Amino acid sequence: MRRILPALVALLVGLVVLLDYFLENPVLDALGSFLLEGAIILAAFALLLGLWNLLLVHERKVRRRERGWPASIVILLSTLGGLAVGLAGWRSGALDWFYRYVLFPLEASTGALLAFVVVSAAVRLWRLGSLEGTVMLVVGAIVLAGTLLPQGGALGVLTPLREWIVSVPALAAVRGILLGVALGIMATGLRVLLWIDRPYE
Amino acid sequence: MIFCQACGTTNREGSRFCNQCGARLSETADIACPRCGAPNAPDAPHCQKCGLDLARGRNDVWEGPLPRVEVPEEGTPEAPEQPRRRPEGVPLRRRPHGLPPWLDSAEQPEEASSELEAGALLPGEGELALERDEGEWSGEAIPIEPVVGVPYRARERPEQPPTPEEQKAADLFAAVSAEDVFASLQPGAEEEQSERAGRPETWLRVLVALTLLVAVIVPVLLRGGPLSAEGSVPAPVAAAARAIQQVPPGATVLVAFEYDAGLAGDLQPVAEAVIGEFLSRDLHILTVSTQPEGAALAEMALERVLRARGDAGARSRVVNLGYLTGGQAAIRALAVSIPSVIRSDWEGRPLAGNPAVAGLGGAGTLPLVVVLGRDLLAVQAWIEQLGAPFNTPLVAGVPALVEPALVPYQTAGRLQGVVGGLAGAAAFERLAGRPGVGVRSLAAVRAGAWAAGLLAITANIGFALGRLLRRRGP
Amino acid sequence: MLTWPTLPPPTVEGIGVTVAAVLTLAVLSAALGSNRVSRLAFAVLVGAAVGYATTLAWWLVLWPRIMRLVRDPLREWPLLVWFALGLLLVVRGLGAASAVSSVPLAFLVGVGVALAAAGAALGTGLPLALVPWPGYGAAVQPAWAKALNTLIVAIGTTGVLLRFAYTTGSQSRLGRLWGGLARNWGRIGYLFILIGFGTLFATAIISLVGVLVSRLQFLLVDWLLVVRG
Repeated sequence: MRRILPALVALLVGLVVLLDYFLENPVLDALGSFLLEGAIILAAFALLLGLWNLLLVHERKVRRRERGWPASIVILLSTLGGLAVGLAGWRSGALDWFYRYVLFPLEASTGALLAFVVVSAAVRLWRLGSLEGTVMLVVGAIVLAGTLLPQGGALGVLTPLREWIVSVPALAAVRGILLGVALGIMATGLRVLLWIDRPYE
Repeated sequence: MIFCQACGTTNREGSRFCNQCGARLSETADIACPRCGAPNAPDAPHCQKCGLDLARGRNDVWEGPLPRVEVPEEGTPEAPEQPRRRPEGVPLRRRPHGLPPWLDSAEQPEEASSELEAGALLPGEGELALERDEGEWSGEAIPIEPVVGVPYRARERPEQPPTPEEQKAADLFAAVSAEDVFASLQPGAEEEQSERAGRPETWLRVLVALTLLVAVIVPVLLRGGPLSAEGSVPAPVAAAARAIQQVPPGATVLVAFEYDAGLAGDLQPVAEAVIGEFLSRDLHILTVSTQPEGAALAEMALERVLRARGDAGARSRVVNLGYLTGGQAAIRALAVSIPSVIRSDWEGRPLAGNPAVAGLGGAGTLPLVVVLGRDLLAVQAWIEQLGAPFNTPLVAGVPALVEPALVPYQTAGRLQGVVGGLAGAAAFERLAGRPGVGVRSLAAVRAGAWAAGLLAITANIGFALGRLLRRRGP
Repeated sequence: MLTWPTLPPPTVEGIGVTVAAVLTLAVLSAALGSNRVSRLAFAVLVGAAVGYATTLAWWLVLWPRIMRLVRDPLREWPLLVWFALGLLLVVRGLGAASAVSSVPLAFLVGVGVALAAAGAALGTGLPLALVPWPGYGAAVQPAWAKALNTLIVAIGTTGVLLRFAYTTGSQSRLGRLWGGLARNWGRIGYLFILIGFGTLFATAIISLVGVLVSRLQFLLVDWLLVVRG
């Protein structure tokens, strides 16, 4: 009974949602909407749980003076600060200010930092190995040049070559990966619904 | 751990009887080495088999350099079969920090095991070679069988010792599993790793940073320059513009803001270009997001567009539906019926009675949905939960790096067009006749990308030449 | 028009721009190597992001539904079910694992896998597998080029799929033949994967340089007001 209950819930809920996805039926539509509303609300509760977990983990690090505990203090303070601004300052403009001038610049700058990281990686590409490095470097150079160069001129052939690379071999690679992932997701879904995998236990 | 002298099973500290055979454990029972499993006297400072410092090894934190394992020369009695070896004259190369083992191997495991005993994976001849410096992680893929079998055989079948390759694999696995992985994520860890690697990387970082900054700042200061010349309009952008033109005036469209601030630099210009085009065609716009930051980003994009147009009255034609948790479930629910999941907008005003959303059903009934997604998964979720089951026309706005990954969906007709990054936004702005952030930033993007590309090519050619010269010797 | 650097006025917005600029510089300083200032900035980012997301989830998802339940409990009673399950989820997360507290998790998993599997089948699997592949510029290619491109795409897609497939190594003649074919075809697929990665690498550089440009424009145009007009 202990193991059956959650498995039964997963199976029934999954079946209803699956059938609602493929079939048009007023009863299934109503049930499906009801279940989707539940998923939306539970996802919000999962966020609350994530917040609690973060506070717990870092509080423990600070209390036990584990390695990196000063960073944990900063994380705790910024989390509580964000919560305070959000809960007390909702609709007052404070949260909007917090997002535009604290969170947005931090995140956007982290993205900008990746430019330096990616270029550093590109500089050391050939250390991957002669085959991998050569192919990635040559293809990368052609795609880069074909994207940035104006059409025509001495190097004008690079633009249609770039188009061909993106539309044929790269398309084949992405297509294969997408198909493989889709097959894997379908297989995993079946395994969960058929009780072979039970990630919720 | 306490080692049972009758059956060899390891038991917890403080155990008086063996869990496996029930034999009474001696108070001075042997201690099993945490790395190789060999029995050692309780007060032994080092393991008699592998040399592990037993005092430190018990603390599950590997602080010192990883042990160097001696591979016997060919033809010695300890190596009855020929292990795969690095060919003569092929120099060893340091593994790049942080890359996973699978990037090193160009061969299938099945093929490798036909030549190697115990299925160990070693680099192919002439292609890849890995450096084993003192204290460096060699980076080879570790086969599973010796890892599982060697500690067992050391205890249960001492008459069947593992081969050197098997022992090496088991030692490496034990060392890696004992290593404190999270130490590398702590502040200061990077400096320690750099010191251990013995190769300062500061000069490379400074070079990359200076190159990129100079290349980008000059066009920003010049507000353009020779690199801002117009290029051709990419076919996916032209297709996106055509899809938007087919929406009848006065209709309602949905724009999904599925990205965060991390890639906003590449996507906000796309959002502004698309919203500007919608407003100029007298369309009603709904914005929604299943990402927490999407609603705020939508407000920011809208503000800039309205300020540029000088048309504050157009704000009444836009409704920001805010943020909805649940990912794919939220998208599916929106596709079926928007009013049943969202009853007030981002500002808290009730949707009922708002003329912009009068008679609104599900997103699946709209003439066009634009998905501004930070990655393939974000766009894929909308394709799978809205585009496919409801056949709703979809246009995607993505960072330039995601654009090639969406080509299969375009080819299959699941996406009507794609606007990719700043360059795509610039092309869209030119098509629409309203130059904006995209056009203004194009020169800087081109300059930065050129500088990065040239630096990468030059450095790699230099590295390859250096390696060639080292192979030829002095 | 270029001018001398000038800080923004001390209004709420002006102070915000200066705070944003300081945080931007703190993060970008990591380009020269990790340092205390950049690590501090990253720590602030982690906490701020979690606090912000949780706040929005509360005000935009949970609070409106609580208010609906309070105002009209008879009509909105199903919300009680979801709130109860949500509390069970939180309780489980706090350590009280049991069959009953696994129900909300099982619910989320059931909905999630069903939507994911159905979407993968209808949205990705079927369209990508069944639709013919016209390849590059289908409308303007001669027939032989279209056929060749389609063949290349077919070989590449299958090769990529085989690259990640694992054969059991059957010892029969046919099994060995198939295993060899699959392995070699998978090698060709590996080449296609490298081409795909090379393409993505180049576009990643373009994309991330665009993000860097946006940040530098903020520093020079919005903060230091060096460029005007």
